[in-house]
Amino acid sequence: MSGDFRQARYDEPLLNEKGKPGRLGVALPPWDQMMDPGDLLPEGMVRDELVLPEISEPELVRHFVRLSQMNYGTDSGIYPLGSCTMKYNPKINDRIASHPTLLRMHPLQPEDTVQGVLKMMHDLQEDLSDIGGLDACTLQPAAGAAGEFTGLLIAKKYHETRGDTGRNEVIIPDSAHGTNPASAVMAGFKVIEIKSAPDGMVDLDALKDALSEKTAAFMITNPSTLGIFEINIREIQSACHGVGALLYYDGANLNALMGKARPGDMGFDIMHFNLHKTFSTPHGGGGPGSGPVAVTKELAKFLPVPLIVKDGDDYKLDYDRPDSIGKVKGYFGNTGILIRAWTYIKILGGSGLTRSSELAVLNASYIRSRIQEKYPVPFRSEDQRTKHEFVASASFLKEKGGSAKNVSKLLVDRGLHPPTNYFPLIVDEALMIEPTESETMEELDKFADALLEIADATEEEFQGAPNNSTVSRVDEVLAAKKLILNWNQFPEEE
Amino acid sequence: MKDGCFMHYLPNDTVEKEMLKKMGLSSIDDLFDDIPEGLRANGLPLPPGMSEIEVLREIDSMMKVSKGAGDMLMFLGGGFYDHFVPTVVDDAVSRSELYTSYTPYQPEMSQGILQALFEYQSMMSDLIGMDVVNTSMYDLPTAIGEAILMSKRMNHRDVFLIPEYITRDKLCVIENYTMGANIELKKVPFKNGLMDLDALNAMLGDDVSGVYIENPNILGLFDKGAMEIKEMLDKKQVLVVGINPMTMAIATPPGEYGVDIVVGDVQPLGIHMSYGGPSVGIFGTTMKNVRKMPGRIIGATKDVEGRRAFAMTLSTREQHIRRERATSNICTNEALTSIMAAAYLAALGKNGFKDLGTQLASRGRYLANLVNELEGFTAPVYPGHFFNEFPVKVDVDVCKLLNACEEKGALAGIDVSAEIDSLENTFTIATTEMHTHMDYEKLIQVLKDAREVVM
Repeated sequence: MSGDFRQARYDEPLLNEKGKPGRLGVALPPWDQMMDPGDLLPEGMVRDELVLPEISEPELVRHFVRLSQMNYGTDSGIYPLGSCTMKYNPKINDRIASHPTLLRMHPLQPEDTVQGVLKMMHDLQEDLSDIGGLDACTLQPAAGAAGEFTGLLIAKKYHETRGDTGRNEVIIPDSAHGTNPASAVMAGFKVIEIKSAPDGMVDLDALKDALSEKTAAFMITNPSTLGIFEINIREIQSACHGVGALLYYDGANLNALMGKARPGDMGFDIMHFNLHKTFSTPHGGGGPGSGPVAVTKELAKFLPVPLIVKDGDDYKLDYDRPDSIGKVKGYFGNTGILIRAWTYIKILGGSGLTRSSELAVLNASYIRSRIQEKYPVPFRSEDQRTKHEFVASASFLKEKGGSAKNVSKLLVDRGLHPPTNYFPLIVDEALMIEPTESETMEELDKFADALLEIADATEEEFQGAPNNSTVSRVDEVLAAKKLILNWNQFPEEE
Repeated sequence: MKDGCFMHYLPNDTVEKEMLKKMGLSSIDDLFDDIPEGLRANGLPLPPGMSEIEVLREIDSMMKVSKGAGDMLMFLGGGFYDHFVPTVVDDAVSRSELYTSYTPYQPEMSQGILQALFEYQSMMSDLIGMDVVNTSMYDLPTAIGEAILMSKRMNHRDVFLIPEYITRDKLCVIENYTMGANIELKKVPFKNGLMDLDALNAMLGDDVSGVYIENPNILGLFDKGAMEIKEMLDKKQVLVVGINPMTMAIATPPGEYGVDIVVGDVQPLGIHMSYGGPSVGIFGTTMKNVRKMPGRIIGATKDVEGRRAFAMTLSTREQHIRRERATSNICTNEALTSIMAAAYLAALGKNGFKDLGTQLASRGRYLANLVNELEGFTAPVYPGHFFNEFPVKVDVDVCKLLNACEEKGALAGIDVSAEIDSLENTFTIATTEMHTHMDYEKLIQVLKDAREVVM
C-alpha cells in the first residue's frame, strides 16, 4: 500500500572520504609576491597541519547533486509542516537576490552608493507595517525568535522609560511556540505560562488572574497554534492594556490573515513577521530566515538602529535615535532574504497577498473536512472554523500500536512530507497540518487519501516504516547516547 | 486575470468553488466568518501585483543607482570582505531539494541536508581545532553574545571582560544579549594596538566569568596574547576567541591554545557580501561543554538496518523541547549559508586554502608597504603582524580623506577612529584576491591626491 515512491540511496561518502591528494576544486590566480607564512605571522602562530578534503570540481558537484536527491523540499512535493508555512518559493525571488551589484555590496559602503538597496528596505518597512496594521518596522532581526527577542527588549525599554520598572513577567499560553518562553528569558523576563481553555482559546479567567502590575507583555499568535481564530481578542486586549501590559503578536501564523484581519487593528502593540514563512523566502534546510518587527507609533522610538528613512529623494540610515534599544544583529538584517520578500510582495500586490491567505485557509480546511471523520480535531467545536492550519490527533491509533510518529513515517514512504508531530503539546499525538496556498487540490486529495489509508494500517506496517526513504528508521536515541558530532569521532570499526 | 499577475502561484484559484462545494460551503468568506465583524479587514492598502518583467525592470533601475565592489575600487573589510565566490559554491546550494527544505525533523527523508550540515560541522571543527561546532548562529555579534551567556551557564559568574577596541555594532548587540542574564561587561584596555595583558591580569577577580579576545582584532592585527590568556585564568574561567576563519589557512587554530569557545563570521568563506547578510556566526566548543552549547547540532548514527545515517541531536537543549530553560531561543538559523562555507572549503581544499591564506597575508604586507611609502601615511600604525587588513594612520582628518577618496572613485577603507575614542585619524585597508596590481596603483594615487585635497 506504500505506492511507488523511492528516494535516492547513494551511500554517498563524506567529503573527507572522497578525493585524492593534490586534487583541487577551484583554481585561483597566483600572486607574484608570495611570502612564507613564517614571515607573515607572529612567532609561534604558524599552523602546523591543515586538514581539508582534496577533491575536483566534478566530484564536488556530483556530491551535492546526490545529497540533494537524498533530500526533500517544497520543490519536491507537499510539505505541510504546521506552523512553518512551507509555501512555494518563487524562482524570481532568487534571481533578484542574485543581482551582481547586490552580491558584492559591502555593508559599510557610504549611503550614496547604496540608494537602490536602501529604497528596497524602506519599501519593505512600509509594506510590512501596512500588512500588520502598525506604524513602524525594523528589518534587523535574523529570524522569528530574534524578532521576539527584539520585541521584548522594546517592551522592556518602554516600561522602564515610563518609570514602570517592576514589570518583569511575560505571560505565554501553554500552546505557544517554544521560542516565546525562550526569548522572554533571554530578554530577562520571568515566564508565566497559562493553560488554554477547554475550547483551545486563551482562558480569559486564567489570563486575568495572571495579569498584574508586574506583567510586561502577553505573547500570543492569532490564529492560535491550533489554527483557531481567537475571537475574544478584544477582551484580551482590554484586559492587558487595562493593567498597563503590552500585547505581542507572534507572526508565525500570519499566513491565515493577510488582508482579512490586521494585528494592529486587533490591538497588538508589537509583532514580528517570519519572512521565510509568510513571504515565501526559502527555508534553506533551517535558515537563513528573517524576522522583522513592527510596532505602534508610541513604541517606534525604541526600534533598533538604524532605521531606513526617506529624506527628500534620498534614503538614509538613521542612527540618531536616542531612545532606541540599540542593535540585535550586525549591520541591517539578512538583506539577501529581505529582497526576496520585497519581490514577493511586489509580484502579488495587496490583492494577491489577500488571495494567498484565502486559499491557504481553503486548502487547510479542505484537508480537515476530508479527514476529520477518522482523525479527530481536539478543541474544535462542531462547525468551528479553522484557518491556515489545524491540529488532528492520532491518539485513536494507540490501541493498535500506532502514533503520530508512525503516521509520519508511513507518509514518508508515500513520498509526502509529514506534518509537524507532537506540537502543540496540549494535543495528544498531534498532527499539525498546514498545506499552504501553493498545493493543488489534486495534491491535497492525495495527502488526505494517504492519511485515511494509514488510519487502517496494521501494527506491523506502523513499526516497519519507512522503507522507501534514503535510510530506514533512524536511531535518534543512539545519536544522543553515543555522540558523533564530526567525522573524526566515528569509532574505529567504521 | 484580476488586477495583478499573481495567479501563477495559486493553483486552486480556479477550483475554489468545487472545493467549497465539497466542504458544504458556498463562499470563501464563510471560512472567515468567525472573525468578529469589527476586526475584519477588506484587503490590503498595497499596490496591485506586477509581472516578473516589471519587477526586474524596477530592480534594475534601483541597482543602477547603487554600486558594489564590481563597480568601483573597494578596500573595505571589518569582518566582511569581497572575496571570490567560486561558481561551484553557488551551484551546490542551488539545488532546490536542499534550499526549499526546512529543519530536518524527519531524518529519513532529509539525509542530504543533514549530511551537508555534518560536513560543515566537521570541516569547521578541523579548521578551528575544536571538538564540536554547531550548525550556525546568526552572525558574529550574536555568536559573541551567545558565548558570553554560555560562559555564565558554565560558571555562574557575573562579570565578563571584552576588548576596549571593538566595533560599536558588536558592543551594542552583546549588551542586548547579556542584559537579561544580568552580566556586567568590563572593557580591557589596549596597548600598542593589542589587548594589554597586564591590565587584563589585574582585572581577573573570582567574579570574572570569562574573557573575549579577537585574533585578528578590529585593527586587523594578530593578537598573540590570545595564546597566553588561558594560563592566566582560573579553572572555571572561560576563554572566548573571535577569529576570521580565512586566517585559519595559515594561523594556529584556537583549539591548540586551550580556548573554550571559538566564534567567528563565516562570510569570508564563500559567502556573498549582500549588503551585510545572510552570513553565519561560527560557534565551536569542547565535548566537555557541548550540553551547555546553544544552537542546532547534527550527529551521526545508524538506521535500523545498520546504515550510516544522520539526525539532529542534543535537541533537549533547544527551545522546542526545553522552552524557557533552553540554552538559547534560536530556531531558524543560517543552515544554507553554512553549507556554502562547507562547499567553499571543499572546493579550495587543503592546498588551495593554504595558498589563498598565504596569498592574502602576502598581499596585505605588500599593500601596507606601498601605503607606508606615501608621505603622511603610516602603515601599519603599530608594529605587528596582520592578515589581509591593516591599520593606517594619516596626518590629515581621516573622515575628510576617505570622503575625498570616494570622490576620486575609491572606497579606501574604514574609519576605525570613529569606533574607538582613543584612536585618532586611523583607518583600516583590506585587500583580497580580487585586487590587481593596477588596483593597488590606483589606490596609492587616490590616497596621495586625496591627502593633497584635504590638507
